[in-house]
Amino acid sequence: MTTRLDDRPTLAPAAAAPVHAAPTGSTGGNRRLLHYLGQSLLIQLRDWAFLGFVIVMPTTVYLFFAGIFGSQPSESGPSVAALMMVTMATYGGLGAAMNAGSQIQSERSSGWFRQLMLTALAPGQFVLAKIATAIAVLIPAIGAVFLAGVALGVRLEAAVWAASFALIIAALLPMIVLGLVIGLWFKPQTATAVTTLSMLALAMLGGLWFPLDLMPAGMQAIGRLLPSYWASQIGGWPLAGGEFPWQGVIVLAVWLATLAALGGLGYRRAIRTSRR
Amino acid sequence: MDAITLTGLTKTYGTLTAVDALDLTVPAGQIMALLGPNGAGKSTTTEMVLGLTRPDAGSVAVFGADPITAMRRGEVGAMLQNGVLLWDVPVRRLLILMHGLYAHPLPLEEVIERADLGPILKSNTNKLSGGEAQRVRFALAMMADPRLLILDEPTVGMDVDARRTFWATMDTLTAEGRTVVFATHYLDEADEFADRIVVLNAGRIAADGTGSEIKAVVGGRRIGFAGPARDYAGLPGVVGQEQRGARTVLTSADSDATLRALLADPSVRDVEVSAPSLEDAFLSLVS
Repeated sequence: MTTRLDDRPTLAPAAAAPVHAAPTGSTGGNRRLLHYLGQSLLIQLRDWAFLGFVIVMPTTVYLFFAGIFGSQPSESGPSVAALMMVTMATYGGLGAAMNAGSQIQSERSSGWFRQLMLTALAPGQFVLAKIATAIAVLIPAIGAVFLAGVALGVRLEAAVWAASFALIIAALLPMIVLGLVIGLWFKPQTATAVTTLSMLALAMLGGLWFPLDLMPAGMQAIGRLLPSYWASQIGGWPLAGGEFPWQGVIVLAVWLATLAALGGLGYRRAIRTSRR
Repeated sequence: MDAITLTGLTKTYGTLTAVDALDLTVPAGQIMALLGPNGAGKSTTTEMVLGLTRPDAGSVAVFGADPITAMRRGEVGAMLQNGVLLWDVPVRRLLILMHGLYAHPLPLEEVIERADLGPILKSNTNKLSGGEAQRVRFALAMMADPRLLILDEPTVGMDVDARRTFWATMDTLTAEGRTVVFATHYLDEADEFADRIVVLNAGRIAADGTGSEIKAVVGGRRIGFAGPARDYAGLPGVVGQEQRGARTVLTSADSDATLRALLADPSVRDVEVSAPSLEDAFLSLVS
């Protein structure tokens, strides 16, 4: 039944509603992105358990393995402890990157993302901020392993430290996106498990725990297709020297492009479904 | 300018038509209640006005712009149904986080004062009571200093006192000329606080008017009295009869005629005539 009444109340506003000349241009947009990023970082810093996990875990594993194998003399080039430091830092960064990325999951499934969409923050800015937050989490994760390296007597030139640090972070970008993709595509209960399993698989098959050279040929071939392997190779290049591993850049680029495409799809789906 | 203009708005989920070719205009400054049973399309409609859900057909204009543009300009604030807060964060940090995300927010101190958040600023969001969490959500809704406030069942779970306090706070906001659209299950709340009530059923407008107009649409009066329990269907205007203990309650389409005939019987006493409650109006409108 539809009943329409002719005499609809149309109250005049008691006072003029506030009207604003709103800063909606890109300046306001960038200001909001930076604000959201800064505040998200502060909130992330409060999460001691998470930070402890991403810092303590790889550092402990590094100290353990380096304690066993690190004292072995290296025939030429950098010491085993130094090379192991790079692979362990990559492993630590891998965990941090994927976990930080998949944290998008909790905000999406809880519905908090919907509340954010009621602000002037654009959805794309939200994702950018999540990526930037993940990069920021990489810094302590990798830094802690480097510090442990120093404690074990690894000595490098400042430029080599810096280059290795920056290259590991850059090479882990596809892994951050992988975390985002998992967060966007999987349900909360499964996302954590999928993140952990992928991380372990990437770490093991990518030669972050045991050098790829010690594995059978078939596994080596798989390893050379993985971004984790190339992240450690690229990160270790400033120490090891030789030709820059361009092949790895190609592998990483393919992974990044594929994951970004998957992420884009998942993101569109996430907006649709989280907006229910 | 109209705050909201809905034209032929339609949204379907599978075979369910949640919102069915809805036409609705909300003038600026109006306080409008959206009433309806669960599944009437209230939430889907508000989500489309907020740009959270895309219509399958028809259009939404918010102050003449599309919903997402209006949101970016900070013209709309909203309390979502079952809205959640970021988990495990002090209230103050949450407010600061959100405060930087609006085009022209109210000063933070003013938001805190209006939503009465002073005592809980240091509390964690996962330790708030239902009422406290609702106050934080309300703070987020008005933080943008919006011209249009959309509240999806804002007082659900509140006790009567908390509801009164909430609406008293809303009064100061609406006195500033803001437009308010709220969905509610509380019919007395709609009657008391809205200028206009739109009753939705199955995604369509079932009725549209003031609280008293809605009641008039249903028509009729209830006539209750003590007297002999017998069949009164023969009296003029009587369309229904109910026995409540010693009292008989007649529903009449013409109470004047019914009363004239009824009062001829001297054993009828203690007569009470009432208009049906909005609750009754609501039930007969949507049935």
